[in-house]
Amino acid sequence: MSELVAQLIWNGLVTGALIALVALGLTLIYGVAGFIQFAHGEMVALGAYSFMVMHKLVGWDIFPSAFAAVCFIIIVGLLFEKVFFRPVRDADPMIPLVISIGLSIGLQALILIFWGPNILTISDTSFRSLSLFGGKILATPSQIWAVILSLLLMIGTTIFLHKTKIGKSLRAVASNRNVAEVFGINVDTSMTWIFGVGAGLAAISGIFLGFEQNLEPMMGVIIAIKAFSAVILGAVGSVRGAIIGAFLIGLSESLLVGLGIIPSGFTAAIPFVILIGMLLLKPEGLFGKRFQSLRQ
Amino acid sequence: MLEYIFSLIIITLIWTLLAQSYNLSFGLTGLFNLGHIIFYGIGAYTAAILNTRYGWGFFTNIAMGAIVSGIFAAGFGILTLRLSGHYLAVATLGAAMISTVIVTNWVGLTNGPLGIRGISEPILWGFTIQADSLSFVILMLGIVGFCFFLLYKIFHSPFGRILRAIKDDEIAVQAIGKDSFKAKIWSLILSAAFAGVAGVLYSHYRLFLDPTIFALPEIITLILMVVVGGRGNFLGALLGTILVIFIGEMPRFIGFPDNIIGASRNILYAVLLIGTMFWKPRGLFSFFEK
Repeated sequence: MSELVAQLIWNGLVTGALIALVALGLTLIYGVAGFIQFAHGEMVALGAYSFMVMHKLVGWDIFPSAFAAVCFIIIVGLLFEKVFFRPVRDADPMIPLVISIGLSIGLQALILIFWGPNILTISDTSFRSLSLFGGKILATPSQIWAVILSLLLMIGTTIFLHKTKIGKSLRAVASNRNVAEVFGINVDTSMTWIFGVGAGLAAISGIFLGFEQNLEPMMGVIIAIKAFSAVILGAVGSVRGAIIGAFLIGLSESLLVGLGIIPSGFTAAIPFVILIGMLLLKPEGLFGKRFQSLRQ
Repeated sequence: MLEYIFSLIIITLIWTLLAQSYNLSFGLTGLFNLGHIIFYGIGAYTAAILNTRYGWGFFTNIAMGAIVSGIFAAGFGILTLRLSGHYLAVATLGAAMISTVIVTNWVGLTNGPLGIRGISEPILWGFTIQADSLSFVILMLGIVGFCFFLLYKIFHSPFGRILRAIKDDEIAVQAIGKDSFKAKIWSLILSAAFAGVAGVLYSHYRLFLDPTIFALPEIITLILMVVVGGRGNFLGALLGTILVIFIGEMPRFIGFPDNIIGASRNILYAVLLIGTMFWKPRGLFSFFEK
């Protein structure tokens, strides 16, 4: 029993780490640009697919192809910001949200046309599972990498936001765009940074997700929807809130289903049941008062 | 060919009713509710279950669909309408996901992913009205026309003006002594009742129902119709729906291969949605607005 629980906690941590990377980008974009980027999930999917292309079709090693995939997605993210979101930056926040919904369905359709509806996998190069803690937990190297790297990226992002000049200017824009502009902060540059960082984090999450599951056009939406819940769960715009929300969702999915408390058919509903329950009890978000690291 | 045209007209009529009902809560009142499809699905399942289990007919089901959807919306509204903006959007999107999961897994009630077969056709004065026949089109025109008349009355009533004012400035509405929360709940209930009717029409037209009716693409199509036509604009949403359905049928006529029809339709939708937001953010038919 304790082995099962330990294994489930490990699986939950892996899922949570992958959701957290997506949620981190979403919450940063929400904080600075002021809208929920619906097409963020497609960045995850595109990350996974471009890694698959570099690794399996072109035949590069894992690390160079991961690097190439992340760079490619960052460029896509920056282009999106420039072409689609910059012109409507000062409009009603509804408008960029609707545009990102359009981008989301368009990109999914493009993935479907390019790669077809067939389910693809990356993990035939799969490494053997390792046993940790004296055989209590089975974990693949990619899972260990995912957890360690995402923790490092989360710490790195927090340091970036609080200690560097660019990070501080991003927080200033998030707090009040007009005042920041008056003080000479370039809002265009801030937007470029935030969309670049967000897309890069999503791509990394996508690559790891590709090792965990099959590639399919909808894979991005599925994780993005969990990330939306994580972002709202932790209080929109808050970095630590989103990360904690993501791990909460990952762990509760894994534990509730794994221990048979909830039938596996209901897995997809878990994040939202937690979310809606939380919104009713504490509408300002789990960490609404304490952790407004981006807004303040 | 004639059957195809009839089926296209019927589908368009059902969608215009659904889109116009969404226009009442999303367009006019400004509730960014991404879960509107739930009410449509509830209407459709109410009709399917009452018809196949208890043999209830088309016309009683229309009333039942509206009532069940409306009651559900009241509960839904009390739970979610304390939220607004992006919180409301994500919470209601979540509610739509939860309802898909429930409908798929509650096999005893909904027959799960296999769906409900054998829903009967509408019977009027002893005559069975076949799907895709001229009489079905006329029946639909009558029902959807009547619903449109009611919706038009709601849009242009004093209550409708309160809803429009809530979208512009909710605090100002409260300041002049109107209960904005109550108005929003009523807007959601009415909107859900009409969506429920649209669901009943769908059930009795398709004669088969499965959980894909709740799917995410349907929600996006619905948003597309209202946003392209013009949020809160009665004629706009009507024309928007017709335009979206017309554009959605185009890939079939151009002769794309079957396996990419769905995908190319979504690309057209994406272009339409993004283009509208850039050039006419108030909707393509915003010139109808007073």
